[in-house]
Amino acid sequence: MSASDGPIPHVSQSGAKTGSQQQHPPSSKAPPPIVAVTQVSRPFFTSSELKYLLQQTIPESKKVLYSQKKHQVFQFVFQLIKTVKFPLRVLATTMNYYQRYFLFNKWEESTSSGTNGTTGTPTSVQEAHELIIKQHERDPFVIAMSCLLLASKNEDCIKKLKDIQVVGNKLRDIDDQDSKGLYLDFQRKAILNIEFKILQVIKFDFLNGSTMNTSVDQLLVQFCKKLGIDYIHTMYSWLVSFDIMSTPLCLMIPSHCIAVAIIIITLNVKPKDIVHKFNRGEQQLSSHDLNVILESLDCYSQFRCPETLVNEGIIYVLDYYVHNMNYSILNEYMPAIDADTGKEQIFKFMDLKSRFNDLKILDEASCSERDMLRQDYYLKPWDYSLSAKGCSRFMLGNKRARFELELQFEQEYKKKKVSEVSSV
Amino acid sequence: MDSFETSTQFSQILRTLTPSMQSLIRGAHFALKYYQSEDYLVHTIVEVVDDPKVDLNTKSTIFQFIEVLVHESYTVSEQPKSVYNYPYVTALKSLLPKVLLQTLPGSNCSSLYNVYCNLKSISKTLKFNFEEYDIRFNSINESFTLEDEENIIANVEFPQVNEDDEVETQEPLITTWNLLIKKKKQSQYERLRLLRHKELCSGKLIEEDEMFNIRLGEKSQGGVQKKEADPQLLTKRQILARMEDDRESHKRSKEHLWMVSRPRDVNGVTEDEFLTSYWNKYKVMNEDEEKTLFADLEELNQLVAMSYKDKQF
Repeated sequence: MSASDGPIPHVSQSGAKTGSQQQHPPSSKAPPPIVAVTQVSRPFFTSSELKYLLQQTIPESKKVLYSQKKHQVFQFVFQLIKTVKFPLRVLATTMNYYQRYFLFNKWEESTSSGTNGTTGTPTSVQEAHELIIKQHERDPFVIAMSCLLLASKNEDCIKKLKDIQVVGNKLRDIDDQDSKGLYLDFQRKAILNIEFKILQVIKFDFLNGSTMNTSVDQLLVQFCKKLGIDYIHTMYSWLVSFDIMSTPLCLMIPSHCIAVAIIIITLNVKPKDIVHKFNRGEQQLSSHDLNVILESLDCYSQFRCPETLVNEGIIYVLDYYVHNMNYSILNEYMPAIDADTGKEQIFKFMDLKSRFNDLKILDEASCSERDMLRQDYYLKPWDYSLSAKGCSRFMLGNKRARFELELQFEQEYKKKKVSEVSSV
Repeated sequence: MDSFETSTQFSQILRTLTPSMQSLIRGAHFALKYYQSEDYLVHTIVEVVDDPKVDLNTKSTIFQFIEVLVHESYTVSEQPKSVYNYPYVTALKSLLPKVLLQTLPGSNCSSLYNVYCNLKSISKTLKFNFEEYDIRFNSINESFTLEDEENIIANVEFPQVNEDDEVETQEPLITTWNLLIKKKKQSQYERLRLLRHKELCSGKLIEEDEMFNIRLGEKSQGGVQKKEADPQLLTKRQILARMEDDRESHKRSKEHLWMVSRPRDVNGVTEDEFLTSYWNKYKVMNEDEEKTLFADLEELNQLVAMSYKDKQF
């Protein structure tokens, strides 16, 4: 059984075969809604799948703009969580949702603060309101707030939506105080609409590769403690994990593998002269000590991380720093020139990357070709109207066995019906 | 307002108390405002708690109210130039054992956990070292003696917990803690007794009303009641109300746990946060923790494996 076949086409009562998109025509004799599409959550994608999905939602010409905006959104959410005092894991989950959202939804640039971008002239007040809400829904910052709202719930840090809105709007210098509170009201509706979409995009899968106690930053520190890594090198790893939070790596491999990948990189880089003010008295581990830890490290037996996934993470993180070192938070904590090599820090990552060139990474045999990707129902744009009618069902990959039993029951029931009819 | 009027109003407040912070604080401020009628108001608390018509949920809320009142009294008295001199504190302290027994009457320990939380918090406010009692409360299973086990097998009810059994001269907080620990033992004991002597209900569907019907006692087949209704047990409506209240108070208790304060003037992420929220917070996992984490991760790995189309590991 593979989970890759996405929605299971399922014969409805009316006899029509409903794929991922077909809907029941509304009719007076229509049977009550039955589950027409089942989606099994597949939270992780290979890089080809991600590339394919993004091609569908972001036009080639706007890719740069998208990443710039994403960087702004990351900064925005970070300032927001600072004000409302959320822990960093909320930021991580928010970015996870935000990036996941744009795998299945078109990215548009318009912002709700501007008035342009409306299409057509509204004929009624209600239509005008709907247009305003739609406009909000296209705003990446509003989408980010919606992701934050859901992330805060999932991470058990409850705040009222209005508080999030007020802080968010203040950070963006938007005046949301009109006499009737209409701005906040429309924005609120848009945020809730998007939240419902995100829920479907994540397939109501709240594990999402990061359950309560397994956010990358937390796991990383716990793993470092287990390996006996000292303060300064743990801090280095932690800074890397903060940089990686804004990348789509969390859509590719689960958090414990990201954590181990970062630790392995730290042990290889053996950073020196990290700027720090606490724990200065602590004896730092020597290069030799770090090597000993590295030699004895075993991804699976010590941390339950499949090696291929860790390798994927290592390559991704190295690649990230080769291209983005100057914009990273790590850069602010490192001296410009490395004491060991006498070169800029970035060369260490380049050197490592060439050394790690032959690591075994994710196998993409079934998703390297466009045609194969096109056949995957899971990667098709999702029709949100389907859920509004109660015709879709979402489940976790490991809960599917339960559903098969149900299918079996239904088939038996149908057989019974048929035999009843024929005997009459 | 004369003392009589004050206590009538106070009685009304207590009887309609809800576990929302707002309601509790409002009550506490009323009591503090009329601190000169302290004797009357404390007597009102006794009256309400003793009143058999007041349901258990409200009594549990009154215990919470005492916690809030003690805390508020401390806060206002500690302010510079305060006119207050810790009103209610001594009186409420000596009242605690009595209120505890009224809140956990007979063998009904449904408010046990709430009372435990409140008592912990009161002890903290009064700077009473309760560590030893806390440990005893949380390791109740070790206190079962051979005799207890024999009694469970023989289906003997746990002896009633009385205040009179405690040493009179000791500090009321100690008495309260001891009573609470006995109550916890009672609840654990009754649970074991129930598991041993009642049949497990499996395989048949139970009607909702029957499920909640713990108060009306067992019905015989003809529908005639075998036992008298026990007013110490909760009704369906009370159970549902209580679930809602507990959910609310649980949510409230978690509201601030996650807060992380960060320096304002720095733009990026800071070392301070790493030190306090990560480095100092996490210790090396012990065997049990690691086992739980690994079990979680293994389950996660299965989900991950199903996520990719090709076999990756």
